[in-house]
Amino acid sequence: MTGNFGAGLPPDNNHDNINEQSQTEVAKTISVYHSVELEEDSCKGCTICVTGCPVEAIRVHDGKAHILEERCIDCGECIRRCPNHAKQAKSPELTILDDYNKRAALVPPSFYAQFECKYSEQELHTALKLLGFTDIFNVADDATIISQATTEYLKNTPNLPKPVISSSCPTIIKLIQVRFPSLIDNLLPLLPPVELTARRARKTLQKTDNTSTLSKVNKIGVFFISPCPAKMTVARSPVGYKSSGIDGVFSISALYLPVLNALKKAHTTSASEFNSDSSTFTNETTKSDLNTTKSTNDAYNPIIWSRECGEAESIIHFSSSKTFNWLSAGGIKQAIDLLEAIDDGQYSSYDFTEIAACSGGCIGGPLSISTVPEAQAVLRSRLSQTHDNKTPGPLPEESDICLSDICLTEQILPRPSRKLSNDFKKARRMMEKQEEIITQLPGLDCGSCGSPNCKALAEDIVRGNAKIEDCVTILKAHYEKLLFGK
Amino acid sequence: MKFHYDVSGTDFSLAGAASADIKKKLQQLGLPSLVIKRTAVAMYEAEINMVVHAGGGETEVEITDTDIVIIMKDHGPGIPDIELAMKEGYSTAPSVVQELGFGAGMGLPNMKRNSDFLSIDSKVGQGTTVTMRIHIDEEASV
Repeated sequence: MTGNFGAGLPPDNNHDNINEQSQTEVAKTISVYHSVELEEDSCKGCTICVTGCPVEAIRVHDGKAHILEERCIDCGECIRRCPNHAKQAKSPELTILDDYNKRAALVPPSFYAQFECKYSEQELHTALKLLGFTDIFNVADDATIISQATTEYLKNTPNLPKPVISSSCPTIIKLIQVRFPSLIDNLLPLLPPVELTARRARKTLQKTDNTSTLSKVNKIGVFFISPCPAKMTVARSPVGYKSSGIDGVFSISALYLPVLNALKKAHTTSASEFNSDSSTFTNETTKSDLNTTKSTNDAYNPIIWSRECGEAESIIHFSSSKTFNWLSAGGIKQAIDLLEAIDDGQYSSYDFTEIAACSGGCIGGPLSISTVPEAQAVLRSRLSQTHDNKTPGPLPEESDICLSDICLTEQILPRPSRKLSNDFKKARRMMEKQEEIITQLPGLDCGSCGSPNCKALAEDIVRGNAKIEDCVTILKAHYEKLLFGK
Repeated sequence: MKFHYDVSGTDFSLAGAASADIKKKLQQLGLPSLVIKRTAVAMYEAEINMVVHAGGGETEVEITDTDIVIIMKDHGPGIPDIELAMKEGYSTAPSVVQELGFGAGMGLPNMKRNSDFLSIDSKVGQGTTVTMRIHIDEEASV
């Protein structure tokens, strides 16, 4: 696959257009679908999610939390914080697998980090098959392809806006769209690994399909097992490419117990019938590739992608450059701080930055089960096993991956969700009003009004979505005046 | 419409707070992201200069119909030779600051590059006032 990347990559020459999209075009890019849902009955209207949302996208009105869809970046902080578990990412029932007679599971590296090392990857695959999946595909293998492509892209594309920002975390792409639109040009224009896996899975299953002539109903279902709501959302409404090859997404948390049960069952079942290698499709191409480019004693396993710094470490593995400077951020606060700094013109001496919305990387996803330290420990053990056991596979013939297959095809547009009005003069008047209201508010940022802080309440008031009496301090003062005349 | 910020001269970690706040306000006004970026970069560099050389100061940002006007005033040592200070790579930043990755002598050139008008009024021993103006191209606003 080497040689297909690089110079051919189209440089983004639409810089200026991005800033001049008409409002309607911008509105079109705002995805209306989000995978985070509110269990109304469980929501007590406590505002913990409201004050904890990093993009101020939640309000409590009439005692229930509402998501402002145009602002939501699917980070899942609300899922983590809600004490009543009212915020959830909907995972489908396993019975939806029944609609398909070929059922691919796309397994991300973060999945393996959830289960103790005594369960081998092979056993985990067997367990997934007991749950109804027919074929297993490792997302890590495609992460390797993206790492190689990134290396070539960094090496061969002239005049890149630096640092190039990884596009593997969908929440970070959305954060950039919403708050740092001038950094859209810095995004790595490559597909997320799982999308490559989805396409590979479908192709493979179509190829191995020898029943189509016999059976009328021969549907292929491609399912991803996700550590986060963000990846659930983009499987339905992608950013940067037209349509996803994924048919459905299960959360790791929803499959955790069924998998554990299946693991126990797998020990008692004759596992051999599930264990046939033919139905576990790892991408041997990449493994052999890396063994030709690097010496074999240099242990590399793409499952490191799931942890913080993993993507950059993978690039280092493939890069011959000795001066590869990179940054890494994990967790939404670090992510925002880093993007803010890049936006201020800092860090342009760095080549690449990897940013994960979750602390610890994907293993810290809101829909994962293990704590980050435990998942890290499991990953370390699995990596050391790799070092001991793995031998390079044979090189299949269809090894060449075309750059056009892995590039983003759609422009990523800004989502200016903070804008007060399309009319600059009107927006300015609203802002003057907003600043005046801020001086009247107590500045406690208690969140009791249902807005995340006093400044946000002022903004909600000028937008016509709240009133000043929503502030409990002001309301109390009003009552005291009425009752006691003071 | 005017906004006022005090820039701390002792807490380096707060440098950039004013430019971050202005960035948010300009986004609320729906200005083009290029205008916002230029403002943020110009202001951030000036903020850093204020902290490094002058022990802090005050910033006033006015948003008019046509421009963003940034006036940054300090009571620091002043700049003896402005022309020399404008040269790329010229730096008088103490080495401890340079070790932090600042003081590469790009501050003033960056401010000039990212604003449509820059004036520096400086008296040695009394302080410096930097005025920057960035045009709002309303046609380009989304």
